[in-house]
Amino acid sequence: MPLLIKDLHVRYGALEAVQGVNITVPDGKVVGILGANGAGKSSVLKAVAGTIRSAAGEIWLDDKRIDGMGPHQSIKLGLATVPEGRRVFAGMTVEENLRLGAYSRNDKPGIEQDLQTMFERFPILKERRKQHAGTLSGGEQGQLAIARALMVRPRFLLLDEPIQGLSPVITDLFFDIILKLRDEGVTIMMVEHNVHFVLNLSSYLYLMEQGKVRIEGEPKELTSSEYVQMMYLGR
Amino acid sequence: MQQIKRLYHNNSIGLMVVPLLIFPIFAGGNPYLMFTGILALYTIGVTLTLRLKLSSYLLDIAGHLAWVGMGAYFSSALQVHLGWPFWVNLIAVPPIVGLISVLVAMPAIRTQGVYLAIVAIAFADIVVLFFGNMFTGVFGGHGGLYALPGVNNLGPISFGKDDHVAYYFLLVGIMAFIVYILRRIDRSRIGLSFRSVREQADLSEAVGLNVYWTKVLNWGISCSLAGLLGVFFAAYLRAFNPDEFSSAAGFFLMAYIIIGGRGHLLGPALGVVLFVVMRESLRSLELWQSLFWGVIMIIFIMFIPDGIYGLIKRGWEWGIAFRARQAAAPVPAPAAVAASTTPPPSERVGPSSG
Amino acid sequence: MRFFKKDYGPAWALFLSAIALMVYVLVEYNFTVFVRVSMNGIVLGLTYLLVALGLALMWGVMHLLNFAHGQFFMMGAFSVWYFMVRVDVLTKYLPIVPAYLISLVLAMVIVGMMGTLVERYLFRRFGGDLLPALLISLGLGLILAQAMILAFGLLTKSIPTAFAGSQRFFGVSLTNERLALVISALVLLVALWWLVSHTKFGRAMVAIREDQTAAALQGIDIGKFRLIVMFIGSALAAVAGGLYGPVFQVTPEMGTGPMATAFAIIVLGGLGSLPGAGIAAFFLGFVESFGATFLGATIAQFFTFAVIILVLIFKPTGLFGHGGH
Repeated sequence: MPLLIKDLHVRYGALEAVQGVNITVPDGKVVGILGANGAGKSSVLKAVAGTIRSAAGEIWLDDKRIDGMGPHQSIKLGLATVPEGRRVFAGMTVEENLRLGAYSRNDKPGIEQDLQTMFERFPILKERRKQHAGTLSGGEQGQLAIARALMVRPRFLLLDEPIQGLSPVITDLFFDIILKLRDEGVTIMMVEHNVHFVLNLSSYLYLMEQGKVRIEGEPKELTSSEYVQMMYLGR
Repeated sequence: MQQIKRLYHNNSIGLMVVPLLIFPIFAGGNPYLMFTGILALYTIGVTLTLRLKLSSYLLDIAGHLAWVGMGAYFSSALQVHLGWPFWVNLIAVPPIVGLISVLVAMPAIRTQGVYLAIVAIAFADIVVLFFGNMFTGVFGGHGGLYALPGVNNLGPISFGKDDHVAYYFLLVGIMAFIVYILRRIDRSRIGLSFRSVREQADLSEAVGLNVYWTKVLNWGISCSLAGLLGVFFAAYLRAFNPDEFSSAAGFFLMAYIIIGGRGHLLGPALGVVLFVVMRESLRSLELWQSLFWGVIMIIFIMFIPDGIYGLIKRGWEWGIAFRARQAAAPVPAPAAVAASTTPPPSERVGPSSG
Repeated sequence: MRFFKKDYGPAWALFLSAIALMVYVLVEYNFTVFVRVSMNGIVLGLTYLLVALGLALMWGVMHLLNFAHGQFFMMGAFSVWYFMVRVDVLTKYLPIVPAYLISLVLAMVIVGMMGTLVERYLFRRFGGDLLPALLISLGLGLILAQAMILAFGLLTKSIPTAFAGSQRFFGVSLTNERLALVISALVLLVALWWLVSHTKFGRAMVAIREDQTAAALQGIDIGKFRLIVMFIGSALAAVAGGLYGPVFQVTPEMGTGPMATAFAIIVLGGLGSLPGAGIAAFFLGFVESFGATFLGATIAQFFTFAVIILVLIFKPTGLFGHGGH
């Protein structure tokens, strides 16, 4: 299912963090948004997730307009979010975190089944099942955050800096996880400032600077752009 | 909260001097006006001492009046029972209050935020209980103290019951002293440490500042200045009861500050004036008063969060803008706008001549 | 469980000092006095707990210190009085027990609805901003107390007891209405405990307390949740007032004392912690009952405040609080 962002504006008081951004995420693809800190990429994602309100513009998921919806509404349309900094519930056990991920669902057998699926997919979480999420390592918390979002059975997944602050080994693991999700048909929009990670995963990329999309294109086009080479790849 | 911190850096205090000195000329003959003026000034004073506190949580105000009360009670007791003149108390009582406050702060300051505010409130209520129930021979119990001697005459200046102007200038003097102390602190090393603890307590610790003692010292200074105002309060009113320093009274003070406007020194005074005006105009509807006050509070917080002062300021700015527009009206294109939209003449000349 | 964690030292100290106090009463006086003091402590503790739990819920979910809570308590008592005495439809056609119970439920619904309206139209726009909401609740408290005086006059009201007679326990008589208070409060507490620990609602509540944004991203409708919590909290205060009313008196100021104690309880227990509130409520209820019997109410109050300050000094976030604000 495609996600369409049309002329999105986000304001924080006098500051206009996002100034007229257009983004399309086609069905079953991974689309990345690149940019430095403060470029407005996270604000785009938050506006889609519904945790902040957009000032102007439209956001369409399939044929539904979702800007102005709270997360509790858009999640029912199959849109799940892995927030920046992972934000697991530190005082709850891993299992409780996962069950909370299924808050919007009411099919008990389905939830139990998905819980098992998550434990199969992320064996470390099964091991830590009864442990408080606050005691997990950063990588484990990252897996928990993704698993928690998957408990929604999302058709569309938003990832906000999924590998921020994680070691290279864990990064590779996340690479595989995201690829697998894509192959299962989950549409993914990812915000990240690790250029190589995004370049290798995405089928289409947007590069944001100061609240606007500066360059967009397929990874090949972007890597061949002189500007990107100079500013982001350091060649 | 941000505005509170910058309080004594701006020039608002200087601007207030002239109206302060002129006020008695207009109001001197009217004891009622003078009373309101003194009450307003006293409220400003209490706010000033509160604003010094590092835990710049407005909730703290609910516990702050206890220190004023301590000053009032100690000074009255010393005056009545030991015969100490007011002027001696004015010097002797604030350090005593400060010392007690340091003793209280030493354990209490370990808590933070809401918890500290609540410890302060609990302490205020203990103080009220103490003065209301203990040593009733000295402190008068629940009924409080009354028929106090007031300020002792100072040479030719008499401080009788009706000498409001004398009391007024005494309070102005006390305020000047407080402002002087605050400014001295602000420019000293202590002031610097206060500011750094307020902005970044963790960082200050890292630079080698003793955050704990800084906080305790700050608390002590603030409370002893509050005690100083208490000494005046007791001598001016000549009668008071413990409830005037309770947390409930503190919440009323908080309402003055909010309604008057947090952004300016004059804010609390405006709040007091509004309250007095309301009380007077609703004298016949006594039962409706606190209901009205509640409604006013809610309306201000919901719709006018910057208070009366903010309202006046916005009105003033709007007036200036309006007059500027009026003045610019005869000219077809307003000069200010034209200058900003059209490019500088030199550039425009270039292409047309070329 | 981690009952012996070092963090819980002050909680243990409090618990042990309560035991010591009880032993002192047992040794110094006699068993009858001990039972009477404990019973009173339980009655007071439960009443305060009902009030405090509402406050704890509101703090946990919406970071609100609701200073109108005492007036909600008072409104609960007034509603019961209104339906039982002022409008005599219920008592005319029904026996007194069902009439009382229906009045209680009506009080819960009315005050609960009032709470949701207040949340929706006054508190919500301030989000998690503590101070404006606190001040609004103060103003609201003034308005409600005054409105009751304007509507029903200054005279003290009393609610006829629905449960006449008394029971004897260990040689001490306990009036049936106090017994009814204890039983109703226990039923409500068990219901609340079940709601918090065994339902999706409870899990969501814990999640919101930990991280509101992350909770919203799990599909929890924060706005609706705040309304529900406000309803439950206000209704708890109302039912506490309705239970307290027949035992004591109904006046517009009746909420002030219990609210102050309830605030002491939630701070002592650790803001937002429900078990902490439970322990603190019983401790303070017992202290008040003990103090009122042996020391006089003032000393008991002193003692209460001193305990709060002491506990916060050793554990700056309350008995079971973590983090702080």
